[in-house]
Amino acid sequence: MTTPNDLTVQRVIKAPPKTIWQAWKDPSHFVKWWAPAPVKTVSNKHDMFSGGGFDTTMHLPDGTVMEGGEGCFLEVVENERIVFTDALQGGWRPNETAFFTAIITLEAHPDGTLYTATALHKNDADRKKHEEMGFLDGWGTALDQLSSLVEAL
Amino acid sequence: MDNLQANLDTVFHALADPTRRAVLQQLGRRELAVSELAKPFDMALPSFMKHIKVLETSGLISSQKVGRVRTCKIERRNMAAAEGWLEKQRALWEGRTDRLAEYAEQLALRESNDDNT
Repeated sequence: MTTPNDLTVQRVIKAPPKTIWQAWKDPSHFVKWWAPAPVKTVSNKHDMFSGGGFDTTMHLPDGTVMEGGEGCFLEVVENERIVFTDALQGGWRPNETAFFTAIITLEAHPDGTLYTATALHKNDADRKKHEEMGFLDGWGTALDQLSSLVEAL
Repeated sequence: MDNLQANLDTVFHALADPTRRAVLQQLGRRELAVSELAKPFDMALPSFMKHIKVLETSGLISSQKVGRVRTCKIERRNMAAAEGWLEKQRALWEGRTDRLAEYAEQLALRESNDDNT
């Protein structure tokens, strides 16, 4: 089930799930790819288990330091699935604000791994009302249509 | 832009209905009077006006009444900005995933080389 506030990114990665898992789980690997160069990622906490905290700091070349705030791993299934959110911090303690939940899945693929990242973003509107309005109808193309619409103008 | 960020929920609420999306598509081609816009829909005018009102509240369209005719037009900047919010998040995830792919592929290559030596 998707809503207009969701997005999905999918890649076939030429590496086995266990290697990708390592790149996620080991902070020394994780900081190498999480942010784009020349931003330097510092991992303050990376407890990759259910209820574990997740905290990075970004260091920009001009000296700016961006605190990511602490998130929480909700579900961690080795070599298969990672779910995390910024709505909670380590130990499931609620944060002041919530913006997203991310669901990462790894599936074996003939060329390596089918990697899927889905980000669910906050939507304050009442979901039930949306469903009644046909909210789940034809959403796959709605944003595509929107973008072609905007481009056509 | 800040207003729009605050309005994001109303924007997506507006986009969450097939009638309203159809209206946006029609308006993407040209400005239209409400009576013209309503024609393709099997709907009483007051119900249709509710949809127009939702779209206006979201900032995706604006309307102007001249005499007895209310004409609607699309607000391109707000459309683009609404898209921009999600597009920014998408760019973030695309980039992250590309970098992970490259990194993991190198890691896998190194591992297989280690196995061979």
